[in-house]
Amino acid sequence: MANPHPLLEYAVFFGLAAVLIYVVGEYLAWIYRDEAHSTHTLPRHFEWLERLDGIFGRIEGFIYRVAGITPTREMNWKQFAAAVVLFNAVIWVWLYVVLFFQDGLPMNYVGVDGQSWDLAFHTASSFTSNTNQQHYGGESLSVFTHTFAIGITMFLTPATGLGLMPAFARAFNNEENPLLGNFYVNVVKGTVRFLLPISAFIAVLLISQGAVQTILSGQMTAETLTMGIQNIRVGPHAGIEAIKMFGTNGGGINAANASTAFENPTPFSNLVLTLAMPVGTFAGIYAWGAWVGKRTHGIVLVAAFFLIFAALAGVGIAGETGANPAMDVESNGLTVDQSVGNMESKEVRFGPTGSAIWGLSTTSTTNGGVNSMHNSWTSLGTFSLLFAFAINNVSNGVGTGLLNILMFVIVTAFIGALMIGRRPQYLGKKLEWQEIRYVFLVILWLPIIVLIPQAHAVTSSLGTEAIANPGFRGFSEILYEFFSASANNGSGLEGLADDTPYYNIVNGLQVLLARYVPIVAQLAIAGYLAEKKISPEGIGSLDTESPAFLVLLIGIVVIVGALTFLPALVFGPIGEFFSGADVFLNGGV
Amino acid sequence: MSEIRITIDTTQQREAIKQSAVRLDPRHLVKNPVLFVVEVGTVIALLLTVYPSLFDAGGSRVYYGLITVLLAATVLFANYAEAYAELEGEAHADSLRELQTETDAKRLRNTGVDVEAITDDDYETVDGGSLEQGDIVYVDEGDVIPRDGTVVEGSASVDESAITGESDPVIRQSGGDRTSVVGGTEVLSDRIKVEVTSEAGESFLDKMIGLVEDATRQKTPNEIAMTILLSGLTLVFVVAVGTMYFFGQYLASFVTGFSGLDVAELIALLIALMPTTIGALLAAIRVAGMTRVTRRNVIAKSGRAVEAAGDLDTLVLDKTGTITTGERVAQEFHALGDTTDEAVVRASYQSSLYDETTEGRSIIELAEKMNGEARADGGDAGDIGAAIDSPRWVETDLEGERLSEDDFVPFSAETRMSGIDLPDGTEVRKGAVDAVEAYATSVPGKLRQVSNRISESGGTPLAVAVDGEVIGIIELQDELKPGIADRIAEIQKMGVETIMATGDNARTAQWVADQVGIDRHYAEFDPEEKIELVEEVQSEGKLVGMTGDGTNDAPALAKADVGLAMNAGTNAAKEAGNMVDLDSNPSKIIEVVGIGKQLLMTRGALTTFSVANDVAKYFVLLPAILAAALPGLAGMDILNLSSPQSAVVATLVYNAVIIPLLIPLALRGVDYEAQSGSALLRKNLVVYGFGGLIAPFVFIKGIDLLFVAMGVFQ
Repeated sequence: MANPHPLLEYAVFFGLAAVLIYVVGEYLAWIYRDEAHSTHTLPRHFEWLERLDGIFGRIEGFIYRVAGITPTREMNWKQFAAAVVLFNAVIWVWLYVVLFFQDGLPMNYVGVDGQSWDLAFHTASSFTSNTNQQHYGGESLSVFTHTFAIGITMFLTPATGLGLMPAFARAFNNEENPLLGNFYVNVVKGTVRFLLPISAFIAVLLISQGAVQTILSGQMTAETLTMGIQNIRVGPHAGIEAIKMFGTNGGGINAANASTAFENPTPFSNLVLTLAMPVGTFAGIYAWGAWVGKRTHGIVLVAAFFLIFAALAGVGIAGETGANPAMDVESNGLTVDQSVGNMESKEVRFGPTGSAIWGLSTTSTTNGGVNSMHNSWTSLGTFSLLFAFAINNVSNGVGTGLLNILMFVIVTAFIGALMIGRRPQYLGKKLEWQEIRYVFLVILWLPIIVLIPQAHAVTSSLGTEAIANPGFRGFSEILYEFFSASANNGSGLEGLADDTPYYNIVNGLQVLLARYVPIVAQLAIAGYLAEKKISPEGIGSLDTESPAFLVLLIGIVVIVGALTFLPALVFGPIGEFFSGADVFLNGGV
Repeated sequence: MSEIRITIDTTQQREAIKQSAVRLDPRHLVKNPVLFVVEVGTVIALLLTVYPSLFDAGGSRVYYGLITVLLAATVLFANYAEAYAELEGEAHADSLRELQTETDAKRLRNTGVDVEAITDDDYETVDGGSLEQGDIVYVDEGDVIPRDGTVVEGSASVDESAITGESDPVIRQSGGDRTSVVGGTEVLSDRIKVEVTSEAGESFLDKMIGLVEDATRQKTPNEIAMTILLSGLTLVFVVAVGTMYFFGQYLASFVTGFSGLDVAELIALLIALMPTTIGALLAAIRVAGMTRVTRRNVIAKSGRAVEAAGDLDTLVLDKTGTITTGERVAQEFHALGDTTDEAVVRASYQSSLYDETTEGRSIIELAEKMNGEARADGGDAGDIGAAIDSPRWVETDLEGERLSEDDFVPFSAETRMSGIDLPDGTEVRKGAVDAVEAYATSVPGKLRQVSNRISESGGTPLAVAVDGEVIGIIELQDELKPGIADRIAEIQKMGVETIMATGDNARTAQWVADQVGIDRHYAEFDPEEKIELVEEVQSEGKLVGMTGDGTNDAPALAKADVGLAMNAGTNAAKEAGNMVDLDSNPSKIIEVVGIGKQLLMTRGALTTFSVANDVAKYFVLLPAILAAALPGLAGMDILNLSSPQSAVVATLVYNAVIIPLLIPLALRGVDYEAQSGSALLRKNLVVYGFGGLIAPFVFIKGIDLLFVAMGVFQ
């Protein structure tokens, strides 16, 4: 089956993504308009949204009553941070208990075992932190675990991220007012108005394509062509898949994740799921502009990170549509036809381009889902994936992504203001050392929690014993794993035998540190900024809507990412690329 | 405006060089985290020079020695930049301190005697240093004022050029806003009684010197944020490069013949990547910014004030002294009745020929200017300039008979007119409208109408009469300070709003505001209301700068983000403001805004340059350091350098030498002209961002070619 031309696929994907980011972004901006203290007005063709207020409002009111939430109770940054941590701690405990004891819980149709203490620690931490890194095959969880632990978590953790955004918008919209809103209200609204309806819509699209959806059975038995009996795990695939992709989650029911036909049956479902990843994260960035009363600024921010995303996807496509040198062998007079590109461990229905765009969508957001085996990618393709990690997954996660890119934006505003002879300010709030230290803490955090463990892992047998390929690729396997944990991404290059106490503990700590240290620091920044006065901006101020600002922002993001991680990448994909030693001949996965 | 000259002589140069070595003391360097890490790196490189096999992989001692020397040079150059800048600041303090010469003082025994009647018996001559606060001293013509004080009686003209550099004497008198005198200045004429207001060593000058010295030593708030940013970057690189050592060991596990990365080279990489350039120049940029302020004879009490000046959104300006000179000058001539314009100009010119008042001079100037313009136009018939062919046309027009000063009729309080009697007996007079009206025999009906219109627009009308016939009116308006309209346009271009507050009537205020393009103005403004105005603007979140000299300005000066007090003003004003202008020129606040911006801009531009440099350094150093393990990485070496050692040494040479190369830029400040934020960002992004990407490639390749020519590292 012939795949469309890569350029066509590329253009269709990014064209559709841009349109959807606008539509979903306006929708998200509307959802949190009050929580953000914004002077938001709906564009004319979105005014119909107002009619939804009544329906959603009743559902939310019911949840507030049941859960005992007082929507009018506002929190300062410390109370807000405490609520985030408490809420997530409860999720963690629930996950840990279910995972550890799942063998004794209902709906265990196929008799799976409970997880070991260290694996349960890693899995609970990984899902609580919206990372979804899996050190187990999806098949080893029961339908109960998938539905009531993993499934619910997949809504609540992106909702946690969503809930942070309006609080951060308040940092700039508040005039000397430390209150950032009510975290629980934000979570409820994000779930009811954003995650549930949109993922339900995606799930319906998936079911229309033939994806599986059941919670009544754990497996189906099929008779194969060779008369063998195959037990195939089934479960709530369509529903899990929808929120898994839209909520920057990523942990699938099957180990093979979205390459299986149950999760992702057709090229159309693949397009829908690929779009679901960046649309959720970039919509938050777009909405930022509406919340702070500068839609053009929001578009500039979306443009900056969208361009980086598209450029990296271009590199990925270049890598995967090219030949894999390791496959360029002749055996018994037979050669591998690589005219369509590097097809090892890729699905024929997606092709190299569809797989590359997915791969970069997964690493340009913190989605952990995969539709091809990343370890079979060429060195150039692998470089594009790892570089996306180096800049903290470009648009990062739902909600947290906005906050993380704003750290770079604040640095850009800081440097940019100085370059025009002004004291630094962003959106009218002066940037002083109190905020800058936390901004830098967040930016520095990724290299610290990735590189220091990496230095240990590659020089210790605890780390190196797990790698599947020697040399540069082995280095990339560990680096990818640590990046994936530390950027709360969750995808794997794979090949690494990572269900060991060492990796479970190291990765488990990484996912937690990566999630909560920046969140608390970012809320502290919001707290400081919220108490400041708003200075007006004029022609002498830094124009955050100008092309020059866009260029400076891209420059700072790429340079900071490159400067920090280029040495490490040299020992992985860059070294592999320049040494010409692709490692697949040595028994790659 | 004159400048205090600051020269750094060779002794100071030598002192700066000595200081660069003294400051190697880790206890000093730890205050600058960037440089501290460089020093630690240097020590490790030195250890490797002595024990090359300290970390397994051993290179040559000469190579390590060279790395050590270049790293040490980096620290020394950085120290030099800092020391040089601080010495420049101190040089200014010293130049102020030299003014402090001890003088004798005439302390009054009998303070009650009238200042004009003081005799030698009324005072005792004492050593200036023995004066105490509250003493009353007598300062006669030619005496030096012994200590800072307040004039309690009399009025005198004082030469303050010693501190202001301004050669014109200023009037100091009791009562009002001109009472304060500064120790070390000289009374030129008349005599005054001065109450000493400061203790020995605590005079205004002493305090200023202290403030300048303190302010240059303390980091400004933005600089603290900057230091955090640079420390953060340093930490990133320590982690990124430090972990490379372990990655190298992993590499050694599967690359045959490779035993690990060279620690000295890793240190070289780390230090090349760290923001040493901006880290070294940060202090110099601050000191230079402060010095630029003091060079314009403005004492900034803190660096924070200078930074805030760059960030001002709004300037509250007085009318008189800031925008106008306080004088009224001729603006236009109006002919009345059937008189020709030419006749009015001629009569006005003649009447003012020997009138030395500002009004008189301005009438001459305007008449001559109109004459010049008329001639430039080619001169239409009937135009006032038609018959005029030389600036001194009156003389030729009067058939060679020269007017002389003897014919001048000076202004007197009685007639309230001045003028001239021409040799043919014609009386030409000008003066206040009612005075001329009373004098004249023939008054055209339009006189009242025109003069009222002038008054309503804020001007002053002067009537001109020839032989008792009123023929026209001279319109006087406030004189604008030269170039003030341009400077206001300039700061508006930078996005600074201008507000004029004046006690004058609304008409005058409107006229002046229109002339210079002021954004907002308040007339009939009570100085006490200034504080409310400042607070009102601040409540909009804006930063306000203002000038003031009177005691009633003090609260507003203290409240404003930048309060520039005039040295000629009261002590209360000077205490309240965070800057003092020794020249007492209020429009200087506009310059201070520019200096503040330049300070911030230099910091931003050099940071961008420093960080952009790193891209090139990676492309040079990573292939060099990994050459042994990964020869294929040479593909990254886009400069195609001659050898790995040459690449490392050339990069370190660039890294060290760029610091002294940029010292002049740091001291001078980046070029800056008033333009919008967007235009400035574009320009600086190209010059310092793009320039920062390219510069190291060019330099490093150049040094490498030099090494090839010298035959080293091949």
